Amino acid sequence: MSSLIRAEEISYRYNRGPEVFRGISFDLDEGEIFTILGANGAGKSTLLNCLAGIFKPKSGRVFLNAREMGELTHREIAKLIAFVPQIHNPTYGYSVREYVVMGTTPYIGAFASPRREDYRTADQAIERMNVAHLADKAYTDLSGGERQQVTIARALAQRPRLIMLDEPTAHLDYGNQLKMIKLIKTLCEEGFAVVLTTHVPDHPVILDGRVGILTRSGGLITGGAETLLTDESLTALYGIEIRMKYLDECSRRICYALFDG
Amino acid sequence: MKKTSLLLLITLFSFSGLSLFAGGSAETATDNTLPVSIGGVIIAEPDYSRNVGVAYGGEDLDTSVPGSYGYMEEEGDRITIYDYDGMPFTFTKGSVKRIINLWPANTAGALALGAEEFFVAKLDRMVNPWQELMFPRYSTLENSFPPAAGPANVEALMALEPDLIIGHPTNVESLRTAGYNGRQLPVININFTTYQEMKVTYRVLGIILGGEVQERGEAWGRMLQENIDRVQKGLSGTSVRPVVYYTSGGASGLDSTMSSSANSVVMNEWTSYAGGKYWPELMRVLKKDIFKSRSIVNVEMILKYPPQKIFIGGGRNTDVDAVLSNTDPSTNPWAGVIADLGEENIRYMPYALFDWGRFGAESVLQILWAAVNIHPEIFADPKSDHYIDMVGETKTFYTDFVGFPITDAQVDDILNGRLPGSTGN
Amino acid sequence: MTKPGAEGTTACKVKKAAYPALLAGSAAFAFLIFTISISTGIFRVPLVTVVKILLAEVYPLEQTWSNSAGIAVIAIRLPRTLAAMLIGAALSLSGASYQSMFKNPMVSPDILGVSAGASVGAAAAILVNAELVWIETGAFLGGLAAVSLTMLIPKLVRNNSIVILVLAGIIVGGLATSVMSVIRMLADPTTTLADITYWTMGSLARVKMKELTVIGPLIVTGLVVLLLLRYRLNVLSLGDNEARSLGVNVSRTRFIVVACATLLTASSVCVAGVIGWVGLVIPHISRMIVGIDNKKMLPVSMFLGGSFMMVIDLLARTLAAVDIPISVLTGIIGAPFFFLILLKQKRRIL
Repeated sequence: MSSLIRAEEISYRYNRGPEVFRGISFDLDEGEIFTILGANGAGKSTLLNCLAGIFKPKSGRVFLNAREMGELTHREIAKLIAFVPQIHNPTYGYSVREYVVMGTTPYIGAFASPRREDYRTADQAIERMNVAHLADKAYTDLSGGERQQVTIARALAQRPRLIMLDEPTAHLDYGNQLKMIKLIKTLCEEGFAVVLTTHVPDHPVILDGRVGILTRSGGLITGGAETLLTDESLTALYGIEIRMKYLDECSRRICYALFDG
Repeated sequence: MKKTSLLLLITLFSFSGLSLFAGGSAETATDNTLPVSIGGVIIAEPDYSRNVGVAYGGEDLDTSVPGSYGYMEEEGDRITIYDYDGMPFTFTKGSVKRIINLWPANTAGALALGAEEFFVAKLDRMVNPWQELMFPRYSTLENSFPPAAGPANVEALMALEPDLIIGHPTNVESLRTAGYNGRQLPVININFTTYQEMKVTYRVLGIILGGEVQERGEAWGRMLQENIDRVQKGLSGTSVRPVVYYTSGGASGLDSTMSSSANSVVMNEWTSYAGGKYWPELMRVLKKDIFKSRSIVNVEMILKYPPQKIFIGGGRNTDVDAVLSNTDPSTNPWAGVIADLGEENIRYMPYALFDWGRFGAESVLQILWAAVNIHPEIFADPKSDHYIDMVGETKTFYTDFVGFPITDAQVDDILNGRLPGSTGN
Repeated sequence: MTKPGAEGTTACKVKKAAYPALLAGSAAFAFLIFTISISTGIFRVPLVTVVKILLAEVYPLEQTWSNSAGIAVIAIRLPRTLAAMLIGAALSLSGASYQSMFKNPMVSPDILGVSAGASVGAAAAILVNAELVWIETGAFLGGLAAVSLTMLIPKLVRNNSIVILVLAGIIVGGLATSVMSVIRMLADPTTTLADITYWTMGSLARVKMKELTVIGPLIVTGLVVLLLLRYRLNVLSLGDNEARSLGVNVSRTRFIVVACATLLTASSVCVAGVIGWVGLVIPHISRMIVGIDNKKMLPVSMFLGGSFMMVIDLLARTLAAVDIPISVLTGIIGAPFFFLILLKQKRRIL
């Protein structure tokens, strides 16, 4: 049986720089969540870009639906994987509707523009994300949380089977962070495979899927949230004393630091 | 939405405003005929007749005023002469042996005056086949300088140890300021814009170089006056003044012209001396000419105010020939004018050491040539009292004045703007 | 780095229904300017006669007008007006495309050094007395070399800011200007120099129908391809990685866009020399009218650019007996206009 996405021993380095990571393997199927943790600069975004086919791994192979990534066109990849990048400030502030419809690009010919049904797809995604009130606003006028929602709407318009999110909670306030995690969980329940990166160990606990820790030496340790996220592994990862403790009030483990300022 | 509409309106308005403005200026003269011309005689300003017999724009230049162009002080063998800019140049008689001339027109003039042996450098890419033929020593000089405007290489100039540098009007200032206290380059500006100033230029050149050059320089001035007087005598019986369009020819076909207010008004001068009206002068009178340099003419202006003669400078040229031979009015804006005027009224001007119609020594002959071609009924008829034998005049000038024994075939080439030896092509 | 809200506020000012009207309006406006332009000039020809003269070209009519009137309309105004329309459209569309592709509203064919590079290529071809086809080829290769160099510089200095790209354009443009000077020094002052000087000034005075039949189809091809790619330009303007994740073959699309925009610039340079400002100002005006969406902005930009150049040409050939160099007029009108745009948008652009 073949998984939706499978990485085999992939490694990457920028030009003549040192290897960012190496020997990384994992696989993922629809309805599954894979959360990547790692220190600053460990290469989480780079790994995500490699998995999404934006960067080409220096060695190793990535299979998408049992086909090797290198043999697929960008268009074929984009029909399977939607990528939600970190919040950025584009030069041109397209309207939200125009921005979301760009998700349908893989289904539009190179010399064509979105048709009526593409806009219908976009409108459905906007409805799904509850951002209809923003449809006519400029993307550049939105707040960080709104931008993230709109970009996910764009990802939905792409009709993918796998959604990759690069630090989806990075620029969000506390409430919005948790709403985002809840949304990701819902997406997963709806059948999407999800890969995301985050800096908060609570997130994989809430999501309760599989976890990968990108270590300082460039390797990836994978496992279930329950078994992998331990006091020891997190302390090693962040270089600060960290504890995991079960809290009855929320019926899950929470993460805290022994940090006496 | 409101703001956008406003902006759109402003944009539309400014565009249409501009076009209306343009349209408006075109509407002022609603008639497409010459408004100031009856039967080829221009009855409105300017009145060229007042210039007849003397230099256009003034009297014979007075060089006796201290500091004026050509003013001279003598002290034994030491002579100080003032150049076009009023700057003194002091030399010992007979001591100027090595000259560099950075100005193409003046180089051609100096060669015609017999100064060939003085040259120690030639002008890059400006030596034409006629100069090669008549002045082989000059044409094969090893050292050369670019004719371009702007600063010349001062060290390269100094290395040739010239006694005199004749600057190009556009770079003379920078040459003069090169060097330091007491070690300035021996540079002078002998620029001119009118025939009268050209006379002074050749006189100054003659005084500095002495001997043969001085004699020819004086003779040139006399020849100029004789030719002007001769043509005026022939014109005394007529008030017809055909409109002459001069084009510098070359790659721009017939489109490139010299405005009447440009520094180079000799075209205006020889046209009026020879009994014609200079077309750009007409434009100036009509207030249609707002630029002061060589320019590309708007051909619709030619359609509206068609000239009666077209004289083409720069020698025979394939680009010009292409325009002249294209009779299709849908691709050649000049086709109609060319057909209306006929071959006899469209002429290449003579070309040898320099364009006759411009600033070389041969411009003295241009007055005669222009008279013959503007008023053939007076000057081209051998039975007429005022007949000008252009072939004979040309032969005499090059053989006796320039000192080059010219053949009849070569005379024919020159008069038709052809390169030497191209007869029969 | 762009600050949030760059041009963003103009995104949605135009309601859905307004766009078809605006597009039709700008097309009608271009047609109006064409009509005014072809029937206006120093040589007066009534509009009715102009229409008859034009009709006579395709349908046999009895000639009731003077030969001069026919020449003024067919031999002078028609090629110039058509050339102005094509060049204005070409420069505006290539400017708009560069602006989207480089994610930088401050660039245009002249700012990126493309025009200067193209004129070097054209001048080099003139220097060796090449045919028109080779002049066009030279201009295209020169322009392509210039834009490649401009694109390379930000990569080498590892800085993708708006300012660096503009500086790179200044560097490349300066280099091209110097090469141009060398070519002028090498040129024969009595023949080719005048031609080359004409190129650097920018003029439509010598446009002939024959050139247009060669270069016109090239311009139309470039315009059509860029118009077809107008939605892709939206996606490209999000950035390379995002466009790639949306399924766009970025390097191929970018190559086509650069090739077409450069072809348009080079063709304009071949016909009329270097013309500044149009490629910068017209896309900005168009964005103010229909917003930043390239799907709407590009067509409007094309019509407005064509109209603008026709007006400029009309002024160039009616204000004086001599032809006023085009760049003089585009500068006098374009520069203050761009200042107004900057003033209106304040510091939003950088």
